[in-house]
Parts: sequence; structure tokens; C-alpha cells
Amino acid sequence: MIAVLEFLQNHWGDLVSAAVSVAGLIASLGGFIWAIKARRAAVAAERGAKEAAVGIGRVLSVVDLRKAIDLIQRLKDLHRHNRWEVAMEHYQPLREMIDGIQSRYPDWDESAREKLSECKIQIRFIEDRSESFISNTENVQPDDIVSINRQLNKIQEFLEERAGEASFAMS
Amino acid sequence: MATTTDILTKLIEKSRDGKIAWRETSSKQKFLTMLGETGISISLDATTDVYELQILDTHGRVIESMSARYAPYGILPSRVRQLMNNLKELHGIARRSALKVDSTLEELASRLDAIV
Repeated sequence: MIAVLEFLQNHWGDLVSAAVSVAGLIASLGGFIWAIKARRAAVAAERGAKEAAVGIGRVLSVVDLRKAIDLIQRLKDLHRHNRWEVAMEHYQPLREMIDGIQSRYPDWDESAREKLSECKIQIRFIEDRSESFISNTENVQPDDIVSINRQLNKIQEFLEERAGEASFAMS
Repeated sequence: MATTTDILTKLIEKSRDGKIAWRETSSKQKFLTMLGETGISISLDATTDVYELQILDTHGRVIESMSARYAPYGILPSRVRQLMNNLKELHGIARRSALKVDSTLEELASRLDAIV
């Protein structure tokens, strides 16, 4: 007992400093663990926010796809009734909708992106023809309406396919 | 730096080999192919006999073009005649590709052969 007391008396400073070191180490470890947890929570929150943004973007692009499909349907009707001047007002918005879809799906494969660009170019060609019908540099033949609407049908089919896939991916 | 003439020469080579697929457009005499997000069209204006090659960006804006008027009996400088011949050849190949003329003819031939 005396030996123990004597040991404590002689090494009290060392013991206190060791205890402080251990306490410091525990505190550091606690801080480190807390920092890791906080970092994980922040990363999870960031990922959640990104996923939510992507999800909202996907919903919006399905809406855009549906709007574009409806607009193509309207354009076909306008062409059938030779209402070229009214149709002219819709080509640019249609191309912009397709632009919006293209920007919301940066992960679409190369062939899908190529197809979207082709759609915009084909719409531009149709717009050029409508312009020439309006300015009377070209006379409208029944065949012309058939071939113009055939191109719109192809674009519509492609967009419908993509809208179906996007809706399936969200469900 | 590649010129539009270089592009035309390469297009004819690759299209002749069937390595480029051409598509129909809303105009009977205009055909389109896509190389990435860039479009290339070749057209014939039947009223003016003008062949035109256009290079279009992803929005359908024409960024380069070249054209030549078909004049079978006219006297044309050899450079213009060469350009016109090249555009005419490309238009012919693009038309056959877009309308699938060759494969349709082959199928017809084999169907006719099958008739006893």
C-alpha cells in the first residue's frame, strides 16, 4: 500500500498527463467520427438534392415530349387545311421544345441525340417549304402535304417512343 | 483545313460504298444524312435545275453550302462542270439510298427468279 502511494506521489504528474493525452485522443476520435458522419450526411443531402433535380427535370421533359407530340398533331392538321401562316408560328417553339428535351437528357446515347438533331433539321426544312408556299414561290400539291406530314409522323413516332421509355423509367 | 469540296469528295466516296445512309425529307428531291449532330443535305431544284449541298448545324441553320446549275448543253468552265457532275452524282446516290432502290430491285429480282 505504501509502495503504491509512493509510486503515485512520484509519478502523479506523468499519470495526469497520460490521462489528459488519453482524454484528448478520445475527444479527437469523437470529433473525427462526428466529422465523418457530418460529411456523409452532407454528401447524402447533396446526392438527394441532385436526384430530386434530375427527377424534376425528367418529369418536365416528359411534359415537353407530350407537348411536342401534341404540337406535331396540331401542325399536321394545319397542313391538311392549308393553314401555312398559322403553322409558321409553331415551328420555332417546336424546335425549342426539342432543344429543351435534348438538354434535359445529356445521358442519352449518341444515336438518340443525333435523331433529335435530325428532327430539328427536318422541322427547319418543313418551315422553309411553308415559307415558300406562303410567298407563292411554290404551289402546294396534295403530294406535298403527304410528304410533309410523313416526316412529322416519323418525328412524332420517335418522340412517343422516348416519352414511353421516360414514363416507364420514372414509374 | 478541310474545304466543302473535300467534304463533297469524301461524301461521294463513302456514299458510293454504301457507308452513309441517306434519308428522305419533306421535299421529294432533297435528301439528308446525319454525321453526329451535323446534317448534310443534297437537293435538286427541279424548276431551276440547281443542285445544292448544304451543311447544317444541330438547329438546322445552314453553315456552308455549294451549288451548281445543271446545263447539259451549255459551255461551263471545267471546274464548274466538275462540281456540277459531283453534286449530280451525289444526288443520285443519295436518292437510291434514301428510297432503298437497290435493295428493292434485288428483292424484286429474287422474287421473279423464284417464280417457276
